[in-house]
Amino acid sequence: MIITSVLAFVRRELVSVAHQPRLLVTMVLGPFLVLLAFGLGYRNERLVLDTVFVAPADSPLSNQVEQSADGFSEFIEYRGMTDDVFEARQMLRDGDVDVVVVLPTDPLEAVLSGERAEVSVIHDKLDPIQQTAIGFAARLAVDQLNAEVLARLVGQGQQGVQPFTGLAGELGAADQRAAELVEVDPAVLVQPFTSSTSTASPTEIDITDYFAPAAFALLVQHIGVSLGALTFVRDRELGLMEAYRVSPLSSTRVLVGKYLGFTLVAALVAVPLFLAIRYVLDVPVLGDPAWIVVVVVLVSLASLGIGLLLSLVAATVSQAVQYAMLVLLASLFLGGVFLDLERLRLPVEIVSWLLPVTYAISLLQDVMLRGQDPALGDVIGLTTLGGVAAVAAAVLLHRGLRTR
Amino acid sequence: MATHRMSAVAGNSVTCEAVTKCFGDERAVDELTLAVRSGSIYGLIGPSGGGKTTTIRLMTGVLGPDSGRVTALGRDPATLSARQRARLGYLQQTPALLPELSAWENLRFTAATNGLGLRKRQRLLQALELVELTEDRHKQTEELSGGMRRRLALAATLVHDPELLFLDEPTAGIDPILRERFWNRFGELRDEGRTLVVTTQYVGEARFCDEVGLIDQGRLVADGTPAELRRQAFGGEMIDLVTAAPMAQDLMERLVRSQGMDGVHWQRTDLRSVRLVVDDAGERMPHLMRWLDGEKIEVDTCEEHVPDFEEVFVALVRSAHGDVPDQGWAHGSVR
Repeated sequence: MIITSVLAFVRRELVSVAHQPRLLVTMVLGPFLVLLAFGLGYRNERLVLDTVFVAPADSPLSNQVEQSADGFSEFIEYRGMTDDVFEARQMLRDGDVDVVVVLPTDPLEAVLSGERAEVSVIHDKLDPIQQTAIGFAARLAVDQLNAEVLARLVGQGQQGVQPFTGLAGELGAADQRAAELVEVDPAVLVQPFTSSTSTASPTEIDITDYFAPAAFALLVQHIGVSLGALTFVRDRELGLMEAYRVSPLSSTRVLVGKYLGFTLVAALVAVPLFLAIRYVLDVPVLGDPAWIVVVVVLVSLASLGIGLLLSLVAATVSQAVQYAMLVLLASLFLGGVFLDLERLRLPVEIVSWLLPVTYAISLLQDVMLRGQDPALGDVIGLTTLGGVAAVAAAVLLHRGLRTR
Repeated sequence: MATHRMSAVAGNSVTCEAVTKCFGDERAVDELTLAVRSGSIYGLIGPSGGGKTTTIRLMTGVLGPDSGRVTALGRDPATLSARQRARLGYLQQTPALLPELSAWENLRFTAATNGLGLRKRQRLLQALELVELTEDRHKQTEELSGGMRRRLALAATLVHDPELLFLDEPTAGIDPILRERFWNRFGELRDEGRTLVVTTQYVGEARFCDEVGLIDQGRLVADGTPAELRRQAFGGEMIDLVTAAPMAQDLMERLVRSQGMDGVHWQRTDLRSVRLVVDDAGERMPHLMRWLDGEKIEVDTCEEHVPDFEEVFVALVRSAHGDVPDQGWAHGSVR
């Protein structure tokens, strides 16, 4: 009798989904197409800002900037020089330029008075990430400008060896080699160090590869939360909860049946989606694929648990839908989909770790992109989260099926 | 099957003792006391919003009483074990069906949740046959009409062969011919030893019940067999007498004073017609015929009048409200 009633729920949930082919297609194809559009449409290029410079017509810097414009092209697109700051601001308002750079009117005077001459950067970007990028670009451009000025001075100074004796010492060379520096490109002398970065991942990770595990985890979580969140509230509206109360069903049987049924549904959706991510978007799986199965099952169970809890708390179907959307929203902002968790302050980070997607992203990135076994702490955390949600759902359901 | 049938026969399957259930300030059920004999059909009849559904929910354990005591199968329904619950069948007023599943799938789901094993195809077919949905079994439930859904829900209630059935308005929205079939089937179930508690909005269906409880404003206004309810409504059984010539007042007074006609009430319905209320029509009829013969009164018709339940229902509800119109009943020598 126990198996029969549990299987009744498994069959019911599968058949219910099978009767809604459009839902199935939407669940699989929808997220895949979003990811595909993102992968195809995202411009993985450095942010280059259209920039106009403002300086007095007789400013020595205006010539300097015009001559150095090519050197800035990594960060900015030079759109000209003007001596009218209001005209430049109007260009910014009209969207003709992204940035206005106001050069100091008398840099020499500032330097002679012992202060740095300030280059003022004005922009209209609201996005904090872009704001940070502009700040970095401005600093790099000023560094570049400084270096250009310095390089000319050094070029003139190479007429005498003395200034380079100290520099040779700094670079670890013997005094007798200082003379060789006279022949070196002044730009190298001014900026003797450069940097290069590389990832520890055994393969090149592009933007689609990076976001694919997060999108996949988010989708599996959303399916679990949505299916769970709607089920009991819908049963209640259809009068089925009242029927369960009179029937020989126990809360455990109902719950186990729903878990099994929905896990199968989640798997049915996750498998084709994962295959599409793997073979259509060509996202690498560097680690053991068996771990992906484990992660999908764990995320499904934990997400179902949270969804079932929401379903037992919600009074109406629309309320349950809203709760599920809130979880999705929280996952987007706090689950590590776009922002690294390290950027979150501690109390908020706790919320992150109450979301299955947080663990799932970390686990899937480990397996897919780093090619290593997932962190044990994440596995234990996700399992614990799922277990706690299941117990809480069982308690609430047991109460819900009791005589009122 | 035989085992539970035997256990059901002894005593009462359901009892309510001074049960009260309130929702906020409203007393949905008020000091209700009744007993449902095992192996009988108990009809709960009353106006809409009178407390029938709340009573059924109390009996099934969906709701608990605020005061008083309810038993089903001899126990507080809230404490029934899973095995005991498997002996219950419950048809809700609004069919509890999944619209995206077919009729067959819904039936199979309900059967399985009630513990019916895997080899149940024959049982499902029988249940569908009873409600005449065999041909429509593969239709999605949302495509079925309201009446068909109700029939499907009834099939789902019966499919696991429960011993004690609670049917909340099983015939609502069903055509009269099928309703009659349903009641015939309920009668068969009763004859097989099952107990049925049935609410209905069709007062006339009280005639199919072994006992009837009339509920109004949460109170049990009257209960008993259909015949007892008729007596309660009108003070006894009725005989309609139509004579060839008008019967004078003094003649009527002589009649009610005659031997064997004591305690009889009467009411003139027109010049030649009189309705008599007697304790037992079958027993009084020979006395009446003898007296009429002795008085040489020519009789057109003299027969027992069996009032339909609409009349009974209205009379009992009015009586419960203290609203008893003067219908001109005369008693013995008073008139």
